[in-house]
Amino acid sequence: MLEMKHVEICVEEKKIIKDLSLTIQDGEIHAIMGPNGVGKSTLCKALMKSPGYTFTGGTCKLNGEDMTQLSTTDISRRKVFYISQNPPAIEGVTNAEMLRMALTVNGEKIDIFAFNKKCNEICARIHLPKSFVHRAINDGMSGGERKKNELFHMWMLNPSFLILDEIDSGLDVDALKTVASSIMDYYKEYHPSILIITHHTQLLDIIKPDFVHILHDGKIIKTGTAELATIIEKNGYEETIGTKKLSEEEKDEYNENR
Amino acid sequence: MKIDEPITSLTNFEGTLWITKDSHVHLNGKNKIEGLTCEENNQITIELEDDASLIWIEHTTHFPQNVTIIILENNHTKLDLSWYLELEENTKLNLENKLLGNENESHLQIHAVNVKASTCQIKSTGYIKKDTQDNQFEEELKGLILYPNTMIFLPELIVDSNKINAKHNATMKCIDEEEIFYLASKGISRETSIELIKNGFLNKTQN
Repeated sequence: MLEMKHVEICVEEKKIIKDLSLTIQDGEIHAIMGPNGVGKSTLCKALMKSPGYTFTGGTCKLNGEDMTQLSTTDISRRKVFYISQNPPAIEGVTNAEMLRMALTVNGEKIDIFAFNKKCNEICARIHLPKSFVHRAINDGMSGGERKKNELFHMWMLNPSFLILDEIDSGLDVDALKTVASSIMDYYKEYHPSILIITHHTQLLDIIKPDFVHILHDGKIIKTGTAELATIIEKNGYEETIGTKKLSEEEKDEYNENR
Repeated sequence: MKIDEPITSLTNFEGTLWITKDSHVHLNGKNKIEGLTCEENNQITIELEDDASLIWIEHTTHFPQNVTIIILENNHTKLDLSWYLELEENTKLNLENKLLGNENESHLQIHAVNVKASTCQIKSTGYIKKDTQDNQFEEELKGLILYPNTMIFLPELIVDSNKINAKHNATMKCIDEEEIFYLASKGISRETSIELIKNGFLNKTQN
């Protein structure tokens, strides 16, 4: 469970997230939407303790543990998996090498034959050529290939919490379906919690969220079901925010349900 | 193979070379050097005779000081040089590749990283002789800096012929914090990430 209460996040001394409270129970899917520049990616990066992104207020707990005191490595070893909008390429470091290392540091014993078999099975499952196993991480890969490559890592590392920051950016319609379907397959099999940032309902048509939140001016100003995403798609943020703000009563009701 | 004569001729050589003094080695046929051992202040000349080829792969942690290596190419030769230098001590290396005849192909790739705070200077000079034609020359120097102010590249290309296809580039980079963060987000510590990135840069990744 991820529990954030009155969280404040600064990027280079500028406060981006001002008062954000959000609880994600085990196995829940939450989508955060909002206009450009309101801090959606900032939230993801801060949760992963990206350098320069600092919690300056509130509490943030992962399964009861204070996340603000954990390093990126610590958070990952607690089975949190993050896919950024544009994963970097690392020349010369192959997927296989990185994955073997990541599994080893997590205490898993690597049987090379079982490892290779699993790699090949997952590649087949996500329609990724087997040759990608021994390719340098994201090096020379298109936007779609990079996202699939990240999914390959996800299936191999078997996380229990996914943070997906605009994974639909740069994907064509078919690639979007493949990526989203693979995440849903993973969800059905392992029931991770998912925090997903997106601008588009196409993604949420496949990865069906339990809750959709609108982030604006550094805080969540509206929460609803998947239907809220459709309303945003139809009316835009301004109208949705302006006409459909939660009443205090609705907010209390939501918090009680949490 | 140990070479202690000033002039040596080899044909279809494959293996490591151990050169104890200044030498001129003539290569014929298809050759592959998989490592060179030499002494401080040595000047070693490797000459590719007509139609000869050489693949030279070097993975080393030590190059003696002030070594000059001159590679001469006559006609219709092919050179494919890939050096991965993980340098632990002060190094001053001078590499000269001279295309003396026609229709030669040269591909030089040098990746260097200092694993200790020692100074590393690599001067690489490509020279294409006057009135030659249809030569191809490509050179790429890449440095990964783990310690500040420890690496100097001096790339040089001297072209005296108009009928050549030549390019060279030299780049240096520090460890990218974005890469460290990315690997950390997969559960890998900073120290291990640096080791992975360094090994990847030096083409040492085990598949």
